[in-house]
Amino acid sequence: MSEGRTVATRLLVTALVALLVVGLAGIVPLLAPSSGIDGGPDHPEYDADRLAPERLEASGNANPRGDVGVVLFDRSHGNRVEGEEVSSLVRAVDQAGGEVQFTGHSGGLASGLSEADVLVIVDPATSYTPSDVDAVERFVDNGGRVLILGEPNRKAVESEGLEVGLSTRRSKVTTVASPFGISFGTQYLYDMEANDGNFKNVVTSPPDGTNAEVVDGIDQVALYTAVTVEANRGTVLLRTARTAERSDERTPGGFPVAVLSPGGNVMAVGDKTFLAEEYHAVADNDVLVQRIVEFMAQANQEAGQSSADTGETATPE
Amino acid sequence: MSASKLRRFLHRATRSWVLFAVLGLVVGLLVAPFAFQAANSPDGTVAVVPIEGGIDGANAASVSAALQEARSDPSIDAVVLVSNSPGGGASASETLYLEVSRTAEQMPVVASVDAMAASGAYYAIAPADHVYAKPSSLVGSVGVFVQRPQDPQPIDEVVASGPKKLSGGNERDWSYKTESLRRAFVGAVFASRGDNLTISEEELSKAGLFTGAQAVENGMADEVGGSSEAIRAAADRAGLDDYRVKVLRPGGEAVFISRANYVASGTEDKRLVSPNYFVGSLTEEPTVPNVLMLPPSVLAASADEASGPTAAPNESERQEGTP
Repeated sequence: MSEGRTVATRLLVTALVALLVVGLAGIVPLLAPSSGIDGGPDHPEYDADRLAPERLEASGNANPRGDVGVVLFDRSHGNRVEGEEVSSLVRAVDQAGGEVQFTGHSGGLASGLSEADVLVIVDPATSYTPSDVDAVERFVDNGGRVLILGEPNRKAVESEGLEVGLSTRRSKVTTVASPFGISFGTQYLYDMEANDGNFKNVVTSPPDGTNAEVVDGIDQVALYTAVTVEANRGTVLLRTARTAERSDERTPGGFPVAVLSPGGNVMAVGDKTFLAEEYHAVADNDVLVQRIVEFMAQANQEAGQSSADTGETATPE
Repeated sequence: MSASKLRRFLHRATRSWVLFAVLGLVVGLLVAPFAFQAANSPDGTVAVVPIEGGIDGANAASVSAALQEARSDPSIDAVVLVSNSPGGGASASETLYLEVSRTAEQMPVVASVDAMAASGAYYAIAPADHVYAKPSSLVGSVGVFVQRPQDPQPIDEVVASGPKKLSGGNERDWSYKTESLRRAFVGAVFASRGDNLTISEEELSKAGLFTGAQAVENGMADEVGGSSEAIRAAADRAGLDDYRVKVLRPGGEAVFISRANYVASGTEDKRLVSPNYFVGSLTEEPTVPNVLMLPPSVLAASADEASGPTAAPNESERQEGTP
């Protein structure tokens, strides 16, 4: 073999080796594990079925009946009640043949009561004075019916001119509710399990064994940022599930959220939002509205039976 | 020199032991520094990736890029996340969760909570193999809040193609959407740390904030310690006796909405801005839904901010000094 041919052969080997190295450089990255651009871990924690909560049914097909007279909504105590907030109740009263009236913003409670059959007190911002309370007590003594809707203390963003800040809103129902043995809590209730989409939207039910007419046919009522309501020797109409808690970290339990006074003429619910257009059809809320109208229709009739329906004291379980 | 003389010289040279010995010495001296360096070089590298400030899109992109660099750099064997963040936007926080999950699939990831790993920041570090927290660290706030747009329907000025086009849904719809987001967040934490957690899913969902010691007690963190312990633990998990530490500090400016995090931060390029950066003005209704993973105090701070002169991001305090 000539020297020139030997050199050529070795150069060929050199070229082949170089090609092999270049080829490996191109192939190895393809065989190597992904650098993270593509692929990655599976995420069973994001399973869509598990993430989608089951909604409470909302139908709203109740049909209020009864013979309701004049229903007076108090607005003279800074009551935070607008028409749309209680629209389902106003409509139900109307369907039952009743007449809805509102007091003036600055007074007129006593004069309004003289013509009313039912008084509705919603989330007042100012306390009822002794003379107001006397008027309400006389109204009840004469067979009138009262519905009190409370709300928990809550923070609200308020602005006045350039000033913006958080203020606390309180439902000042104590002076008007306590003469009837009814007391409202101040802290909101929540339930991490039995709720309508959010922990503050608690699902409540009539206590086992209750036969109070005002919760007849009701299985579940959803309340929205509710507060406890207790009635000494009264009747519990609705309780939260035992998984509910109060925002002040009280031990979980079934908290009463709707009660009837011992005399049966005053009904109290720790929420007003369930009456709003958006919520009155959820679960059996519409049935509760119907029963409230029937409760109103009993004004001027003989009162007293409903309070003894169960004999259960309206306190937390 | 003639060709014959050259051939004779080469012939003699190839038979000379001395010449080959000299050649060997020269080659040896050339290669020796590399050998010495190799003998003394660390076994590998632990990358430290800080998660600092409010987690917005830019922040998430920077941290993701640092994690991607760690995954693609063969010299990096483990990652330590150092959190000094109250969380931020939900989407950006989820991005970090997914990036950290991916990284943890590839190499050991250990987290160290500096001042805070709250809400979205805790979401980000949850996939870590081990979490250290200092006694004063704040950990938790596992939850979301949603600023939903109000429904302006019916409105004459805008014609929408559907009843939910302008609002995305009513208040109740948004409650269920928020519940779905909660489930995703809580589910991710349990998927990542379920074996370590002693806190129940229900209790975790209450979104409480815990000190480092409390977090160790309820399993949201594993040990009390700082970033040094986290680096050692990461190296140990990667089987490194001798290691170098490389800080992959995300590029860009860290934007802080809490002074505690701002002061604790070691980064040079940082800025303290109003919580409104994330929350907006509470007196203005959001035009689009805003899903946030931040501690609740941010809302109150935003309200306080709204009552005084609002600090626009570009007017806020800027750190000029060294870390």
